[in-house]
Amino acid sequence: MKTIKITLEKEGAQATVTHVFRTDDFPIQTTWAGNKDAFQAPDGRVPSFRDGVDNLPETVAFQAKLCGASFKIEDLGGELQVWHSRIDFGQS
Amino acid sequence: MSLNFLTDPVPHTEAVKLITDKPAVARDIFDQFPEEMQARAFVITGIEDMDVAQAVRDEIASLPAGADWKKVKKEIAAKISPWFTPEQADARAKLLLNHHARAAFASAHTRILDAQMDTFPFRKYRSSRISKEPRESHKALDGIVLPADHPFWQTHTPPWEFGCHCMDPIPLTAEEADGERKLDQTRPPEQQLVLEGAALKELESGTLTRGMNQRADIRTPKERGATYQWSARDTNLPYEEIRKRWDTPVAAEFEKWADKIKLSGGGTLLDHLSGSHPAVNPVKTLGLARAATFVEALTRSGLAAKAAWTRADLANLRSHLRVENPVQAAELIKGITGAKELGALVPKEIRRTVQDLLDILPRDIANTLPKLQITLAKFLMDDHGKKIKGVAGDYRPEGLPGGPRVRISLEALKGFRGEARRREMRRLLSHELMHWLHQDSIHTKSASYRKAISSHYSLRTAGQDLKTKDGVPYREGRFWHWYAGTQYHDDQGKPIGTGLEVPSVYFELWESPEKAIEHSDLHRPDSAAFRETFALVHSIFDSTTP
Repeated sequence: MKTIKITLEKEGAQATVTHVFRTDDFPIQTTWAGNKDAFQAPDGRVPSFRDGVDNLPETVAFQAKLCGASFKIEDLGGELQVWHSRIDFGQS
Repeated sequence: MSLNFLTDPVPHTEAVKLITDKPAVARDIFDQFPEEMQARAFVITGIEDMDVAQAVRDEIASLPAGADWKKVKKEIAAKISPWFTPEQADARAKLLLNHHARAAFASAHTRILDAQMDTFPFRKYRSSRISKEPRESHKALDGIVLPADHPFWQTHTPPWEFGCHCMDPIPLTAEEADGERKLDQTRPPEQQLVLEGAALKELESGTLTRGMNQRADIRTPKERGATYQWSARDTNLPYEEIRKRWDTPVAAEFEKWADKIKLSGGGTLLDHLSGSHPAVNPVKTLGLARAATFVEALTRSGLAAKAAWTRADLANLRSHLRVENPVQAAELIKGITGAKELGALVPKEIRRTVQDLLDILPRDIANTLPKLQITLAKFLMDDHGKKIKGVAGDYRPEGLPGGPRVRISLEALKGFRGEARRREMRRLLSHELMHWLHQDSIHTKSASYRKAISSHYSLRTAGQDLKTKDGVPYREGRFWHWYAGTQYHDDQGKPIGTGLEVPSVYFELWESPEKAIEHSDLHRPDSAAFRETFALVHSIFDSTTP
């Protein structure tokens, strides 16, 4: 399992979003701590800051900008499981 | 400027499913059900014609699908009228409708409340405001506040007795519960609502005092010696979870019995209980025709313009695509092997997953699919008998030795337990089934679909270099997952096709709706790209006739 922690800051308010990934495509667990409500976007919803491991920096940057927050992403380590599905064309 | 208003009723598909999942059975069969399963069955005492019982059940299911209460009640009364006087039929229709529809709404509501327990850690009980003769025990509970995780809610979430009209509990934040506590300081002890200390102990022992000589017996029917027990939480549990409460021989005996009982409308009692029965279509019950295209289904269900989709939205979207008379999975499955390794009910679940795809696929396309072999194997081996590492599932197309076939690796499912494991199996299977549809349907429309997917991939990846991740060559293409950009090569390194993983990587999202919800959200930088590919992938389900 890989853990990635995002720290958000906005006008003195702080919150952290911690994602746990089993595979690289999506967190299997997301935990918020701190003042989540301070990070509402203009439509009143709080973005989830969730994505696959590769796209996470881009998505977090976009969503943080949307709600006027600054952010920091830390990889707290851990291993991902690597499994794929494939078309079996029969070649070696 | 154009405005989009939703004018059609939006079916509460979760509540519809909770009702239609109940097998309609005769009283003598019902009485042989284990206690915790009785609330999952549908019985009308005095009616032995199961076609009628099933028709009444489906009529009740049309209520959460958007039908009118009075109209539904009238229809039910008409259906059961040969067995009762007009007054009795009317009263029975009201009772059946009240009980089953309310229970379904309450179960769906409870699932949401349970998911929000961290935000709303307390619940307030509300007795009926409309019942002419409420039971004293239900009236006594009005307004009491208890922690949301207190066992009381397991047994007393309305309707906890037959005919109970009490309302859904109100979720409260910790601050709101504190507010009630402050108000309690102004109330006499027997009128206080936040039950703690001695009052809570009294409640837990089965009584509640609400004033001088007002001591109510709040025990459940089962605690008072009857057999009926309904639990909003239990109703949400998959059958697999319920059967874990039984010893293995008990479960085996029950399932042997339940698999022998054929139900009106197809399938066995066990099929119904394990969720492998044909689902009803809430859109059909509203009298709507199937959406001609996926884009029309998106518009009809209000999703084309909606910023944040929900699970219920996705279920609703899919219901707009259900075909009238789908090809049956049994006609297209050559064989299933190795599935019992994962659980006795897994072969049924595999058939159900295939059927889910066929349920939204126009018949004439489905009829061009070759018969499919499905295998669950401990490891996946190549043609030389060598173990393939890192491959969770594969699809070998028609025309190659052994094809068409789907294989799923049990090793890849090792890290998952219980329902999560079955869900992962369904996700892998859905992915491979989409390869089957994409690669091997020979309908004329399928050829243009393959061309459209290939062009989409080429446009999205134009000018992009081939990268490699985990040994897989791919191009980025702004797909929700990099694997959709996979580029296959033959033994000589020559590319094979383009965009071959795109349909499968998007179709598998039906088994991971949280990902589809996330990627379609307009809070994301790539939501427009996601929605574009998602719609294109599902255009294979468009009607083939104008």
